[in-house]
Amino acid sequence: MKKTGQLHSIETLGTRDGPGLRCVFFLSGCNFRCKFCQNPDTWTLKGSQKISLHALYDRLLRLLPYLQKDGGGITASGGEPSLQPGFLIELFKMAHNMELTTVLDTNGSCEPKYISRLLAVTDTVLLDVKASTKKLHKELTGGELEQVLVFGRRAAGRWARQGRPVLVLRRVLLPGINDTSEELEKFARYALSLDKQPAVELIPYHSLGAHKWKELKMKYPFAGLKPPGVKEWGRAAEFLKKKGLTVYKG
Amino acid sequence: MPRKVKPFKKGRWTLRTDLQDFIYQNINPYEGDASFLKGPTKRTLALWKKVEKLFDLERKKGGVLDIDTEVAGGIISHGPGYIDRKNELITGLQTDKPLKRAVKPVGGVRLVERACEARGYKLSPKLKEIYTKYRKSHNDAVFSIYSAEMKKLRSLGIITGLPDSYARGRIIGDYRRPALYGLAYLIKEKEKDLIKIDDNMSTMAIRLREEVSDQLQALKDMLVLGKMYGCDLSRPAKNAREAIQWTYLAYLAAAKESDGAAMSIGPISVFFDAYLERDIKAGILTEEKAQELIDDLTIKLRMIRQLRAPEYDELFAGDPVWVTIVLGGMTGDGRTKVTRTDFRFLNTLQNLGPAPEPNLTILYSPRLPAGFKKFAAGISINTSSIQYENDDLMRPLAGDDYGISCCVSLLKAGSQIQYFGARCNLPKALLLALNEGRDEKYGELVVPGVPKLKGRYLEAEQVRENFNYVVAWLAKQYVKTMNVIHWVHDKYYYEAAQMALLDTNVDRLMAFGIAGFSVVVDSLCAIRYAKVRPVRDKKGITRDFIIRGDFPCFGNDDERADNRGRDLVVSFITELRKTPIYRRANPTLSILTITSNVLYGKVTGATPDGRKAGSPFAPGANPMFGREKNGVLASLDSVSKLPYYAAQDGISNTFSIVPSALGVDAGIQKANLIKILDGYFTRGGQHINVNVLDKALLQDAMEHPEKYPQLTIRVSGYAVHFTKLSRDHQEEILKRTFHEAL
Ligand code: SF4
Repeated sequence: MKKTGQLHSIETLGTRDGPGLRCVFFLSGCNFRCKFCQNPDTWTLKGSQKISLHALYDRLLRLLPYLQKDGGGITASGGEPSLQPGFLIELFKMAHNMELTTVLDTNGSCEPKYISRLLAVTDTVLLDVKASTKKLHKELTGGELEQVLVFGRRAAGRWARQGRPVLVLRRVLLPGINDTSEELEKFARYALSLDKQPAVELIPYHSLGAHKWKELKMKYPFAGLKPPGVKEWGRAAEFLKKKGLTVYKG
Repeated sequence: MPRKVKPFKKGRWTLRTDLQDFIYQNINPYEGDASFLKGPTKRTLALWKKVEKLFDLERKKGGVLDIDTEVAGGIISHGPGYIDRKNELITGLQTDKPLKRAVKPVGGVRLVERACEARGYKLSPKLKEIYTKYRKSHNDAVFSIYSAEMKKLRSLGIITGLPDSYARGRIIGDYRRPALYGLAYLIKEKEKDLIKIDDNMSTMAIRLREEVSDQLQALKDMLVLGKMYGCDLSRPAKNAREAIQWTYLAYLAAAKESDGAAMSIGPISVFFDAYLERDIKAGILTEEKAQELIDDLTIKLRMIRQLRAPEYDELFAGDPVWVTIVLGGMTGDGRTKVTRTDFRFLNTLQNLGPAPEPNLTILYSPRLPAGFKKFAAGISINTSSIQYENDDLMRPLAGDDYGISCCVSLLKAGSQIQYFGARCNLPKALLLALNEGRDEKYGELVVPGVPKLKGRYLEAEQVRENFNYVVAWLAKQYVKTMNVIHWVHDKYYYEAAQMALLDTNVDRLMAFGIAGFSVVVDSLCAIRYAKVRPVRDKKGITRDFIIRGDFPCFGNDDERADNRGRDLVVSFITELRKTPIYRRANPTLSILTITSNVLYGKVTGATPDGRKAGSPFAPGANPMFGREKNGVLASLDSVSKLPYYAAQDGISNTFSIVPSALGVDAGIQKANLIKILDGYFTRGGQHINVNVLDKALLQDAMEHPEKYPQLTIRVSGYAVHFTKLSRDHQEEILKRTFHEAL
């Protein structure tokens, strides 16, 4: 049992990543290095704070009157929260004991031996599939695509058999990069091949995190990339919808 | 076919003046949704258009349309006045012309003179002579009594904004009484009271006898005022229109007689509803007509004006009068006080567009009917014109029938008043503690006996001791100053019209206040958790502070900071209780600044939390701008933890959020706002202003005020037209935390 974790920050009013009001915990540390990352300040443990489950319990207890209604609860984000699997599982268990729902916002790189224990305490998985071809995924994120796909498959399998966790596939839409027909085709094929069909959240890329790169004295690799227009977003959404997927805007 | 109007259900209220019982017997709780509401009629719109034109003229003339410099204001000094006589359902203006302001030199003749001059008018020499030669004014009397210390505290801005140079206001007459009982009955009752006041003619008995005599005169004047507008106020109102008209005229009498800083109108909604529903059931009124009456009353209340001196405007920006109306709430026996008329009042914000007045205040409980919560949340999101206060917290103190005075102050209807006392500048108190009792601006000795601090860095324990010493000393001076002001106010500027509509023996509160709350909490945290080195000038006075390291700040649900906040509030009220108070009033405390946080900040030096000299404080009990690192709920939770039992005059929190942060679409935004309110009030928060706005919109309004004549924003316990604020105030609002989406 892991009683402490490395926390980057807390956002107590999340209204977009699951039902009800959600308290979002940004855990520190990430094993990917996405070129369009909005939170590069969460990559390392530098500047993070050690936080005990006990302290988070006190905090959540105070916020219960806000969070408990309409399926509200907590969201673990980051960084990559599954890099602290022991702590994360305990955190989610604790939330369930408080009758709060749990949402996991992940890049899908959880170590295989923790996957089933983690999924057992997760109500919703928001899985980032940043690219659907091996090469592009590696190039964009520095991480392997395969582990992501496996994680999604296992989540969907559990969802189909046990009714939980709900799976949502997310993609940050980078115009001209991961919205090509080859990319979208593969993405759709994967989604449709799962035991239960996930909804797809298409998030238009934006450059609001660029200043953080600067603060960290790093060069922002996507400096000239324009966010997709309504048209480009619509085209990608239409493509996936035609394949029979449910698409919404993130 | 009109049926017979059913008489009201009888009860204790039939035997004696007891509005609470009347409401208890005759309330029509409404649990449905807003679908029954009606839009404005053609007549309403035409009338409103005329008024909007006048508002526009007023704006163009720099904020004041006209002043009557010849006749001192009083209940029957002016009138009758109309906007458009044949098209008004509810009549009565403060003077003979709309938006024309009367002078009230009895408050302070020099102030009135200056107020006139600031607007390009000249007070009539005759009035000037009367109030200089023959009749002492409130302002003159206070200053003839003040001690040297009091004057110093005032002029250095330590205890300031006091009602010594403007009328105190804050009293809420029970304006419903004439409608329910008729003035003839109320006069008889007061006469009976007068006979009974004897007590061997003690000083207090003499004073009360004189006051009740004044009250009787005021009631008789109200009869005359009624006649001017063709209303026989001696008898009870017979129908809904009369009930609203009678109530409004009683309020008008008060607004004509006195120019109190805040003059709330109290719990009128549920009262009107009893009449409106009775008439609708009898078939003599339709929903459309019922809404028309409420719209018409609202138009009148939006036109209440007082002439203010420039100093006043700096404290209370946006020309407010705080015609606060309470809506909603629950009764002690578990019914809701939400009626169709509460919906109708909110509907005025749709029918007439958003506006700061009347100051619509929802007495909130998570148990309020879902339909009402949803409607209110929607109006909040669209207009940013509503505030919410915790009914579950206040009902146990006040019972079922209470009003909100000004912004956040609880008053039992009909039986309680408060003596308003502005506030003490707490960051200045802290600086006195760091500077051997000397003021940080001029180095003048204010508090004797404060030990010099040792060491290069501020040491928490020493600072705490000094600060406690200063607070104790100031609290005593504060009470003494208030004792002077209110003794004088009662004598020289007595609110006879308002007091005439209250019980003769009222329960009195004395309302003290603090400003700069979060600045002090964060400063104490900085001293305790970081290293703070004061930078001192030649005289040894702190000019700035160098802070090394992190420290917890108020507004992050961090117990280290929040506990300091609790302590601060509790210790301040505890100190206030140590000095005897005028007329045995009970001390209460508010954490409310209205808009004075800007002015107070301007006159206050740098503070150990890193706030620069001259920059504004956060308003009310709000965390300091930009220091909330954990989002909305953490910020709200810090404020909701502050102990209401120690700050019963109210704890004001102003919350601004951009629409998209509340949720992706209108439906979710409403649902989420309700969840936030439910949570905040369950956690014990007392008050919250809700603004749902984009910053860009405000920036645009600063540049193009003409495009946004109705843009309303909640500031601290009340709302203002954003474009009526000074540049300083506008900039302060933009600095505030606008909670954004991730
Ligand atoms: S997985 Fe998320 S946190 Fe990690 S680098 Fe990519 S975008 Fe950033």
